[in-house]
Amino acid sequence: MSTLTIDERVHRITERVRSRSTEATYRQCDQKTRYGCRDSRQCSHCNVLAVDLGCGASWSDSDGGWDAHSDWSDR
Amino acid sequence: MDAVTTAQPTAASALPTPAHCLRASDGRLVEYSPLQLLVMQSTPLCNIDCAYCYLPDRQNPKRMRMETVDAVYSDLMTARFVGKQFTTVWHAGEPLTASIRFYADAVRSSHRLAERGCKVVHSIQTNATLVNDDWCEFFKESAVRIGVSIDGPADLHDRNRRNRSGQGTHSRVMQGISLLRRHGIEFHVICVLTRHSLDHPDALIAFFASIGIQRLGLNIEEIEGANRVSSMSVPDSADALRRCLVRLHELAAKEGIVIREFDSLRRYIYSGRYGRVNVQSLPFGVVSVDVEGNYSTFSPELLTMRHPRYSHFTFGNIHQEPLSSMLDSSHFRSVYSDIQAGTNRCRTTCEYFCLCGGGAPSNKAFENGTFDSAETTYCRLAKKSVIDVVLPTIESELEIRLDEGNSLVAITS
Repeated sequence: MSTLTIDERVHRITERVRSRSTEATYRQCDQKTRYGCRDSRQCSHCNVLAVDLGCGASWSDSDGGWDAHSDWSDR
Repeated sequence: MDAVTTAQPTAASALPTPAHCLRASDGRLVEYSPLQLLVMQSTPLCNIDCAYCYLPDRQNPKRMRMETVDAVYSDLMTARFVGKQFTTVWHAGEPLTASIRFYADAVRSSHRLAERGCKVVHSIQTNATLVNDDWCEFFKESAVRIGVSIDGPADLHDRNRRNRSGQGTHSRVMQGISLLRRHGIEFHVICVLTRHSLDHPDALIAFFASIGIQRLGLNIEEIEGANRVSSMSVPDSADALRRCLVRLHELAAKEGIVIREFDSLRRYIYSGRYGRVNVQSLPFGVVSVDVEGNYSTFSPELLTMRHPRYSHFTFGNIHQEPLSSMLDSSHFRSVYSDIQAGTNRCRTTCEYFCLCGGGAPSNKAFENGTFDSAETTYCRLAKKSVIDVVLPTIESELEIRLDEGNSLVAITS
């Protein structure tokens, strides 16, 4: 069980993701067009690869925050 | 009104998040969110009668007039809170009880926003019981996005999603889904989780996999509006939900089903932009317009609701005043003040704040009686439980990779 707060845990994740080279990951990504590329540097690759290779910074802000559209659409 | 952009940190260790302010007529600066979601109630009428529905007035056959639709989009042509894109969702009743022609005209009406460089995406959330070939042709022609409400296999779905004669609607929903498939129309599914369904995660995923669903949203039954009692209001719900979510997470990954709650949180964390403000807690992030043109903001569930403390959440009518004029309404100011106070309570009392941003104001009002409050059952179930499932998964993935540093270099270099 982690003794860190949620904030600290998320911060730690962010730091680790940032420490990886997203550009290098992008160049090596042989499926980079599978989900469409949003610009010349960003790879919007599948969730698993984004996690595994640390290219999470590629997720577009236009996808919305996790709270933006999540909770209300239907009951 | 003047638009002002500032930078304002929202959580202790979070990155500064751009904030936006509008100046009200009395000179006050009011923080707002750019419009992300426009909820339009084409009709309050629903042809079925789900046990957990929060919407009042579901037998009211009124239809929104096209003059109301035009008035909304005309107003948005010059509104300061409109950015480059937003979604219009037709909701708060069963949208398919209105006519195809209505939506065709409404979509056309929204096209004027292109003149200001704004794209409007239309979305319909339907129970699918009224889908026919004509609707399918319209969906294809108009590129309207479709979401279908179905709660899993018949025995789970029909417990709550029934017609007014008390009969289950599952078979009719499946007919609608078959038609959508036959026409090659993509759609996502929203499934409401009740206390009963929490014990059946395997059956849920097996069913959705069997009908080829790839995108699944989970709504947890809430106490809200007309739904005064929730099956989730029992002591073991939190534990049962957590067990269910863990199992759904595991099974969905195997079946290639993307679950909205997990996926969007993962994206949010991996974006490195966590800590930004909660759109439901700021005006204009979500704007809701009812069948008569009355408008509201903050949580979309507030539209058409009555409340003992706040009376109502209508801040104006589009036929009488522009949306931005709500900033000058004393009722709006009172509601917003309480919502801000509630968000501050969350900020100082809840360690999940950095990923949540203050919860849902509607749940605070209906569960706690006031917006100026913090935790709700909804928070515990729909927010904290999801975070508790997803966060360790991400940490595990990263730690595995960190332990295998040489492999990572080999992959990326």
